Parts: sequence; C-alpha cells; structure tokens
Amino acid sequence: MRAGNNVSGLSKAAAIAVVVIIVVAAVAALFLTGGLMGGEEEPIRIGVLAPLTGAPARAGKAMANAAKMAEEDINAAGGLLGRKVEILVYDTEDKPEVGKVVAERAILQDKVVALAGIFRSEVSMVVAEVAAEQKIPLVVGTAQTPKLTQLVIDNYDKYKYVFRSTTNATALGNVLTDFIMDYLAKKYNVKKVGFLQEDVLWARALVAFETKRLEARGFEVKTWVVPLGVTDIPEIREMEAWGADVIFPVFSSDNGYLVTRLYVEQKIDAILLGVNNPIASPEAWEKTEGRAEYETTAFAAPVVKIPVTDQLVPWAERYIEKYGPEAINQAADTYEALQVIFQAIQKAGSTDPDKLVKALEENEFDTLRGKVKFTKYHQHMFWLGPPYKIESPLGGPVGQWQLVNGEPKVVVVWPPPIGNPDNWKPAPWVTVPRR
Amino acid sequence: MVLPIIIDGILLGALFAASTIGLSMFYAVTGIFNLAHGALLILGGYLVYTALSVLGMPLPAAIVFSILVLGLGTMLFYKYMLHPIRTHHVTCIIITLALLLVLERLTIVLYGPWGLPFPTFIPETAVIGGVEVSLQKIAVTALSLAAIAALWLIMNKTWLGLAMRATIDNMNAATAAGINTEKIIMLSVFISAAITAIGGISIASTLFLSPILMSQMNMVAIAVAILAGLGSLWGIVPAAFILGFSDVVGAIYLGGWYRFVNLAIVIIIVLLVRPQGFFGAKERIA
Repeated sequence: MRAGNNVSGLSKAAAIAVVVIIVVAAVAALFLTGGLMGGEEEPIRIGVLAPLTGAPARAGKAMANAAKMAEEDINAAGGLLGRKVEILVYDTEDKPEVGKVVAERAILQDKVVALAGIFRSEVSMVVAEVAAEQKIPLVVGTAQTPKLTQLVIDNYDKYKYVFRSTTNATALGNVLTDFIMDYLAKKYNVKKVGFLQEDVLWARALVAFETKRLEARGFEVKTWVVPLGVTDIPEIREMEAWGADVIFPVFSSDNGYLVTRLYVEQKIDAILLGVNNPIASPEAWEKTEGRAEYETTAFAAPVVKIPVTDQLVPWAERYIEKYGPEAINQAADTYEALQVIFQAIQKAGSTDPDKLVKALEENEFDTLRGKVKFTKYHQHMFWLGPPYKIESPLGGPVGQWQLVNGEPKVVVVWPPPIGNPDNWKPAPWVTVPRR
Repeated sequence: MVLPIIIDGILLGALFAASTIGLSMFYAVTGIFNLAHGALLILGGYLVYTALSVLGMPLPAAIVFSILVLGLGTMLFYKYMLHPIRTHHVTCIIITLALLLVLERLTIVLYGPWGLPFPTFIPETAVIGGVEVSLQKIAVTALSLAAIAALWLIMNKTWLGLAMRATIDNMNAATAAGINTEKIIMLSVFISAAITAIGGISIASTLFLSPILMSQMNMVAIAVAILAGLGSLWGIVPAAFILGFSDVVGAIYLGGWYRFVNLAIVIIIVLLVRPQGFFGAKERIA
C-alpha cells in the first residue's frame, strides 16, 4: 500500500500543477482576447481566406494585400456602424481540408461576422459547407465553379449564406463572343468561327460553352486543339483554308506569342480575336515587337487601367504603388467582395447574419469594376453588362492593340458604353466584309 | 494545302536541327547525353537579353557575350562536375538532369515566369508560290545547315578534328601520341556550347523567349538526336526534317494530341529498323 500511496502522492502534485497551468492559461487567454477587460467596443471582424502558401501563393499574397487595403480604407472612412473594422487573413494553403479548419477557426474562435476571398473552387465548396452550418455569410470573390451556385439552388434554406461577387466558369468567353455576334457579324458578315485551343481544362470548358452559344445563333464553329509543348502551329493556315472569319485562340501559356507571330508573319486572312493571355499584358506590344497590333482580346481592367468605373484607376494606381502589379486581378476580386460586405453591413445596420443575407439579396453594391447584384441564388449577374461588373478572371472589356498617334495603346471596343465598337479595325491584310 | 505543308515542314525541321546540333556535338566529344541541353539552349537567348537590356550592349556584342558566357559556363560545369566521373554514365546523366531543373527554376526566379522581349533579326517576309514565309526562318534553315557542314569539316578535315576524334576514340592512345587530351576535350565542349548558344539565340529570335521553351526544346532535341543516331551530325538533317514534316502533317491531318503520337510512331519505326538511329555508331564503350 505504501507504494500505492507514493504513486498517489506524485499524481496529486502533477494534478495540482496541471490545474494551475490551465487556470493561468485560461486567465491569460481571457485577458488577451479582452474577455475580462470589458468596456471598449469590439471591432467588427471579417475573415478573408486566401492561399498564402501553395502553388497560387502569388494570388494569395495579392488577396491579403487587398484585405489590408480594404481595412485601412474602411477605417479611414469611419468604420462600420460606429465600430472599427478588423480584417483577418487566413491561409487556406490552397487545400480544401485546411480551408475548412481555418474557416471554422475564423467563425468559432475569432468571431468573424462574414467571410470573403477564396481562390480555388474546391476550397470554396467546403467553406460553403462551414458557412451554411455556422450561418455566417460568405462572399466568394475569385473561385469560379458553377457548383457553388448549385448548392443554393438545391437547398436554399441551408446555403442561403453563400454568395459570389464575380463571374462563373460558364462565362469566361461571353464578352468576346458577344462582340462577334452583336457587332462583327452584323458589320463584317462574320459567320465562321474557328477555335484554336490549347489543350488545358479551362480552355476546353470555355470552348464548349461558347460553341453552344455561337451555334445557337447560327454560326459555323470548328475547333483545333493544340497540345502543350509545340514549337509550331500549322493549324493556323489550316483554319484559314477552312475559311474561318474569326480565329479565336484560347491560350494562357507563352505559346500565345507564337499564335500572334504566325498570324502576322503569314498574313492570315481572318480576324484574330480571342483569349490570348500573353497579349493581354501591358508589355505585350514591346514583347511582340508590335506584332500584337490589331489583335483583339479581353483585358483585365486594373492591369491596363481601363476606367470601367470612376474608382478603379485611382485604386489600381494606389495598389500598384504600394504592392506592385502582381496578381492585381485577384486583389481586386477580394477588395470587391469586401466592399460588398461593408455596404451590406451598412444597409442592414447590423451584423446579424440573417439581416446581412437579406441586405445582400435586396441591394446593389458599388465595387471597383462595376455594380454587383445577386440573382435569387446569389450569383452576381455579370451578364447584365455595364454598369454592372463584367470582369472574369480572364479579363473584362474587349480591347484591341492599336497605334494611336504613333503610340501603342489598348483601344477598348466592347461592351458599350465602356468601349466603342466603331473604333475596332481589321488588320490591313484581312478581307472585309467577309464573303 | 500541299505547298504550305512542305514549307512549314522544312522550316520547322530546320528549327529542330538548330536545337539539336549542340546536343549531338556534346555527346560526340564527351560521351555524355546532356539532359540539360534545352535549358542551356534557351539560356543562350536569355544571356543575349541580359546583354541587350541590362548591360546595354549592341546586338553583335550581346551575341558574342552569350556565346562566351555559355561556353565558359558549360566548360567549367563539365570540368568540375562531369569530367571526374565521366565513366559513370548514369550518374552523369542524372547530374545533367539536375542542372536542367536548377536552370529552369533559376531562370524563372531571375527573369520571371513570362516571356521577355527578344528582337527578330529579320522580321520581313517573302511570298513563295503564294505562301507568306518568314525570312528569319529561312535564315535559320541556312544557318543550321551551314553549322552542320562547318562542324563536319572541322571534325573530319582538320588536324584539330583529328585530335578530337582520336581523343574520343581512345584517350590513352591519344595522350601517348602527344595530344593534350584535356585541352582538346575542353575546347570541344566549348565549341558545342557555342553552337548551343547560337541555336538558342536563333530559336528565341524565331519563336519567342520564355522559360517554357526550355523543356519544349529539350524534348525536341532529344527526339532528333536519338533518331539521328547519338553523336551524329549529318544524321540530324534527315532526323530533324522527318520529325518536322511529321509534326506538320500530324497537326493538319490528325490534330491535337495525335501530333505527339505521330512523332512517337515515327521514332519507333525508325529505331525498329535502325536501333542506332540514322547515322549512329554502335554503342560506345568508354
């Protein structure tokens, strides 16, 4: 029994030590979180979820910068409901399971009143679950999967907290094909559209959606798929021989330079208009030695500073001065999602989740790149056109590289009233009107 | 569509050849298959860019700068990393593979992941039989063939070439015959790197300058070199043009991923008939 008493004596000491540690830690935690301080009013906390590590960390960093800027801006303007605003950034590591953990931490531990941001679609789906369970509004700023809206359509009562303030993946090429259908077809008799598509997933999805839209309007459509890693694109001549009126590239890699070069060197008799990321860069003119002239593509408004609203260009300049131009599109996405949340809180006069949902559903919101307005299933109605926000991750307004008074410039041609289609010019070697 | 296919095939074949000569030459003189070749090739372009934009050199000086830096760099790499273990072929190949990865990452870190401006030396085009053809590509075609011919002449018709071949065949015998084999090997490595730089500069000027080309051109060069027969210079001509044509024909008539399937089938057929490639010698024993 003595041995037993010894053990129990030791255990007592250990137990007391553990209790003391727990009590000290709890008191410290209460002090640190302000639990025993009382008095001063708590800031309104909003969480931003971004991939600060992992493959898209460039975008995640920009999203975090935008969160900081939004916090400074709203507090400089007096905060919300007389309280300061605090924006907490959480690293999703670009992984769904981490997204779930940090979203729960934001809501349960840090007591955020709303969530914003989110880069990857897979992460947006699990965070939507958390938002629905915890009944906290979520405004997705970047992720594009249509499945997110499907959640709200299938079970509104559960998922009514989930919103998206950007486009979705069904619409990446819409503005460009609208320009073809509503302007080029009428003015230049364009009837045949050839897609020249790099073989990657998003390009396949874009071509599939836009093919349907074009065919529904009576256009003849054919697709050429170019695998990654080619060093020549003889398909372009083949498309010309097929009689394409428009060659519509869908390229995100640097092989887009090759499309531009071959089009100009071979003087291809077709209009070159589509998604060609290298050409949408502000340095495209220099990098192609001017071969980008006449090429038409969708441009990111903050990147080439297209004044789609009064606030965009000053914002972009301020952002670039502070953080540089890297991934400014994703920064704008996050800033806009936060603008929507700020205005909803002001309109609701409260941070109560259900009042916020109602305010989000019933109002329009002024953001950097245009107004945001939600459908009853909480997808932003990008299809309304300006003054509503039209910009997708692949770009917003359609522009054409032109020499204006000897200076290379992106001339915005679509959609009106941001762009004037009559400023669009076919390349001199292209026959217009088409046969 | 026949004339454009012929023209595109020839021009693409020439570009394939330009990307391969340095690789075959390096193999011929060292017996090591250099998997970092694609990275070194495009680095030639990046060095010209650096000389032009950062150091402010005129174009001819920039080209010389690129050749010298790449030549000396490759020589040092060979001397300290590969030469001491040159008989361990697998280890050597793994080291060159590591160099490929390092150079690719380094380029992205130093120059950014996107393409950079690069001058097209001859931007004009000509019309051949109603088909617009880039003069730049025609110049690259001529340059590639001239380089192959010149290298062949050096290797086979000069004392230097004789010393090189003697060194390649049997280093001990060459040393006994009074050849400074170390010097000869270093000189040969320098020449192969210089040719690589010129090939890379031509490619950047004809296509574009971007880190994605490092892997892309590496695959091309490896395929052409195998088909040609490892180390064979003249073999590059039929190999590059056959692959160039099959790529163009594949793109027009098959499309999509069949472009590469088609290339693979051509390589398999040729190697079934001639396992050593068109002009390849039987397996070398070092």
